[in-house]
Amino acid sequence: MTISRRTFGQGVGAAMLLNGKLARAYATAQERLTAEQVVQRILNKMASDGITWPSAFTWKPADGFKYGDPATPVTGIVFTFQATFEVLKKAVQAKKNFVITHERMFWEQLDDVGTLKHDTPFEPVGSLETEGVFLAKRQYCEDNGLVVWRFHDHQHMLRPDPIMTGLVAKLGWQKYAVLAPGQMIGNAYAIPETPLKDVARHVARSLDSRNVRVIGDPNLPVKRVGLGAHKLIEILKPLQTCDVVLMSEPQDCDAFPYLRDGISLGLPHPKGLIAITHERFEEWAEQDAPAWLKPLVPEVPIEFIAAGDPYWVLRAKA
Amino acid sequence: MLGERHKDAMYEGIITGTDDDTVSGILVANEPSVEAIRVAVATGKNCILCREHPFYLFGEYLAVGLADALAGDPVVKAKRQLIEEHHLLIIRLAALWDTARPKWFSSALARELGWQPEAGDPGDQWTTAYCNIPRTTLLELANFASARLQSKTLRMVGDPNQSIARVAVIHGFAYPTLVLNHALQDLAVDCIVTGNTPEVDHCTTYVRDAITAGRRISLVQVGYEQSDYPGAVELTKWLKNVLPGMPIEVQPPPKELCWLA
Repeated sequence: MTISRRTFGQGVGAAMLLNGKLARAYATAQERLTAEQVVQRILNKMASDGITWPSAFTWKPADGFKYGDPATPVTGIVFTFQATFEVLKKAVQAKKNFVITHERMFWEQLDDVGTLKHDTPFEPVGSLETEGVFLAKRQYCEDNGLVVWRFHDHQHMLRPDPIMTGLVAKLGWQKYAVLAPGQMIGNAYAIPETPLKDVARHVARSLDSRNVRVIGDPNLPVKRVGLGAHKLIEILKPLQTCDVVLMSEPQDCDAFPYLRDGISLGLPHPKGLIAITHERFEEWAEQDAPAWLKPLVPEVPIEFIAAGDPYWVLRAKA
Repeated sequence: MLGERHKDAMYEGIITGTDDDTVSGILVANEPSVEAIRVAVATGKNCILCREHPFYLFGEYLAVGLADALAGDPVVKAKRQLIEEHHLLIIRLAALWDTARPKWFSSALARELGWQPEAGDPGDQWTTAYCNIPRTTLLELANFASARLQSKTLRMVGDPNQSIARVAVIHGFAYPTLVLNHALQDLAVDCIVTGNTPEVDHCTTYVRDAITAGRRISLVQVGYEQSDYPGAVELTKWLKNVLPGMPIEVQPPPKELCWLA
């Protein structure tokens, strides 16, 4: 059976109202702020800044309620990079029932686990709706009255983009910003000349990551760093104009062989790549988000919970 | 029935050259890199049989718009010139290999790691190969795989002290979520060994969530290239039997491209 997200949310809402504990909470919290009221304040703030919702994207925006009843009274708000199962548990421990997540909740772009329509071109036949991890994660949300709202495409529309602001602040590169017109990320960073190995170590230390992967001559002099997202098409321009590009969640099968060939051919570009996880690249915006939201929602506590770097690596023995 | 993915075998077949070309020799190289082209030319072979696309068109969502974006790209231009200069025939077979022999590359990786993959059920189109292994820990397994595959940039998810006795091996780029979910349907599997997975979009977070949900599972990413190399070695042996007398070689193991900061 296919369940739309709307039906799914309604069903969850009904289930929550039937749950005695939550029904009591609801009855005593008539005047309390609801999740949809929090979202409305965010939308109002964005509208006052000239950002409409939904915005005219060329793709289907991923943003919106992903789980729970939007009318749920909010006990507290958690910002996170991704609503992993562990983050949800930490939110409950922190007695906060409204989770605002930048990335998807159920491992699919639109969290449409019933149809997996977004993945149709490459997904084997199937559904995740009866999948054990999905059921356990959903049940946990039901049992604890959680509401999850995704804030991705529109969060990137805030000016300045808090994802870039957060990353660049962690790297300490604000003063090195130069315009990079026509590129997916409109800034590059003109840093004092530094060998690639030291730039990479700086990235690893600043972002507290041990799994920073690097391509290129460790002694390559780096004077200009570009930024890019996840696919080769998204880093082509900065690769041609910068000494090295810092990208997140690369797919090894497109960007990496391009770098290998470019270096083998001895061309002026590309020269180098620093690849970090998606989470280390973007989570800093969520760390900053409570301070951004607090003036809009003073009634409830707001905190950041880290999704955390997913990987650990082997280190060379000394 | 075609394989679990790549249903239309996008960007596969003869990529450069024509089917009328006379073959002087075959280099089997998963990645038809500039290095591989130089090896083919130096050893008098005008044909490269590969898994990857010479112009980086993996297919699916990764290739959307990429061919147009690469029009005029200096790397593509120089590489195309090199290929044309040497009249190279480049044949890409990826999904088609996996369709014909779904567990071939995954089983080759398992054997390279010293494990014996179980025979799949007839008609099983999943590429996952299952292996019972001598009980070990995740950390020990990672160190062992690192040494065996000459890979220093493995990335792991899970408790380093987790006990492991049954592994699901998936060559290459393991995604989307249903591929990993299928491996977890074998309840004895306690580790997935693969080349690489997407992080937040499909797979890595799914494994993290499975761990939080109580499943005793871990993920070892040995590197995309390293995971496919044993398959190329086995394919080369097979091809020599199919084409006796034809000079056929596998590309020497490519040097690990990445290093850790």
